[in-house]
Amino acid sequence: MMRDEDDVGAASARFYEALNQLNRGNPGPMAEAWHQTPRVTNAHPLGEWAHGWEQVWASWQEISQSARNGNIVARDVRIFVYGSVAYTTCVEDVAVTFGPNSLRWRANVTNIFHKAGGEWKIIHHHSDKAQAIADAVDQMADV
Amino acid sequence: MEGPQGMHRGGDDREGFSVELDPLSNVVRVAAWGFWGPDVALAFSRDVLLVCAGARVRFGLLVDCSGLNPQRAEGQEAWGRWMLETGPRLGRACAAVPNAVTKLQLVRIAKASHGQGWTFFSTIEAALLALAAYKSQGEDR
Repeated sequence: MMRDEDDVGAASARFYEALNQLNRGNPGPMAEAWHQTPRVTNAHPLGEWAHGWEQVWASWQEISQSARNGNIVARDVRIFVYGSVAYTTCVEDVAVTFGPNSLRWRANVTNIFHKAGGEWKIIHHHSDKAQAIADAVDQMADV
Repeated sequence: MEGPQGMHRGGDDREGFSVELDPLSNVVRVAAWGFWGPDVALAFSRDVLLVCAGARVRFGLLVDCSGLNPQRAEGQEAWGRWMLETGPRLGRACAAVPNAVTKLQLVRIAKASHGQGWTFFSTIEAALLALAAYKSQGEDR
């Protein structure tokens, strides 16, 4: 069991490294952190649900086009393994520049991982919505 | 596909769009939803340009993007082409985009496609009010 928990912890760390890269304009590592199947789901702090890898990837790519200077720290990561599925809870401390706005917020987050092909990767990410980033998008919407 | 009242509709209930012109108010109404495949994106590009070509210069646009996901490359290209090609004849476009990631995408495309006449809102009510204010100022004449 301990080996699986360690491996899930490593997969979680890879996801957060990818999230930081994405919020610095580099979405590539995020693709490697996910199992790319139709049965993955994602809810961003500023968005609605994305269902299936194609929608998930389209939304991540879009965010990476506007986000800069990302520094996201996952605190108090708790890991729970159930066979080939595991979930984590954590608190994200987020600092990111979005358009002209430097933003900070804190969110409760749940991530679910699946072991397939011998690899633990994320299949579900759900973050609390953050009003700060929704407000920033509204400011950017003044075309 | 053209409907009984001149409405063009593409795709299906999961991913698609509708577009129609009200010739009296000179307003084109568009609704878009889902996560488009290449066929829907192509039909959207063709149909919205066709309907907008039938409107008088400085026409109004009311766009309801409730349920529209951030799009793949084909969908993004369709929106960009529409914004670019209708720009010179457009009066004002008011778009309701509740999904903030989709709004982010459409704002980016509008900025890259000379979409100066476009304004984005989170609700259809806000978009309707803004378009009504524009019409009441007689800017479409």
